[in-house]
Amino acid sequence: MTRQPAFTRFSYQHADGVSRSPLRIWFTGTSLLIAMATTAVLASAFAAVLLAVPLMAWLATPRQLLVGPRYLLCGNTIVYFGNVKRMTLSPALGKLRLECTSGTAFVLERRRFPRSTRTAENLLKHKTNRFERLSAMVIERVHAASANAVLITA
Amino acid sequence: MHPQDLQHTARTVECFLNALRLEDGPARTELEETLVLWLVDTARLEDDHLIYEACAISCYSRGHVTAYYEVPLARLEKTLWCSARKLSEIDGPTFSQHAQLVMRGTGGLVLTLPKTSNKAIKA
Repeated sequence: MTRQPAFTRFSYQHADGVSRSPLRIWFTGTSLLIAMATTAVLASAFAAVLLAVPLMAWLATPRQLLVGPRYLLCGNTIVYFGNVKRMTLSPALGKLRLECTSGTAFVLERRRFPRSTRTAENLLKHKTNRFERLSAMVIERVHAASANAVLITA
Repeated sequence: MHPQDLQHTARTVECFLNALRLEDGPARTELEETLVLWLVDTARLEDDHLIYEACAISCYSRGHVTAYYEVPLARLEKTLWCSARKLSEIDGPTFSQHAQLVMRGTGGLVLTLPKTSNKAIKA
């Protein structure tokens, strides 16, 4: 088959499960084996600390939202831009609701963008910037794919 | 279902409909979403698949047709098979006469998105 279309990836803390790459699964398995073998041989508390490596590798799997030319993927949800009939943007609440012709809806939420700064005053600014950037991209692609889609700003 | 499975299935179905030379537009995306969600449904078995034959797509689950969609705008005279992960042309006469799947691969198929006219988007 042809190559995957170019997706723009955003870190996004969706509530669905994550998919781990084969490389991550291999690394986790290998580091777990090494950590267990080292712990068994040395029998020390220090060796047991090595068990944190596979644990971190397993838990640190990024959650992402992918925006492609024709659809977006977020966890177990797929939204085709051509199927969106109404978009409701709430800048104050930080939400973009996409309603599809099938009756399903997807809500993009500002609060689900990950924390990328330690200072509280910059946190909202960073999340807002990412939300605005992604919202603008989604709205543009919906308008390009579905001429009848309505944008409502709440 | 993992997100990566959904991504892979979405890409497979996209190529499947591209091979039929269906132009992008509301009619196609509605069908595309329906087919993707059918394939990634947790009730599906590994052998469940889609068959395109004579301007119609049939959803086969446990060997029986559970859904059927006419695609009069399809411009392909071959018979196609598509699962959640793979796509292939199959031998049409063998399938219709003996219900057997003889895979021929994707060699003769055009899998890129057909050029979309403005008329199709505004429909």
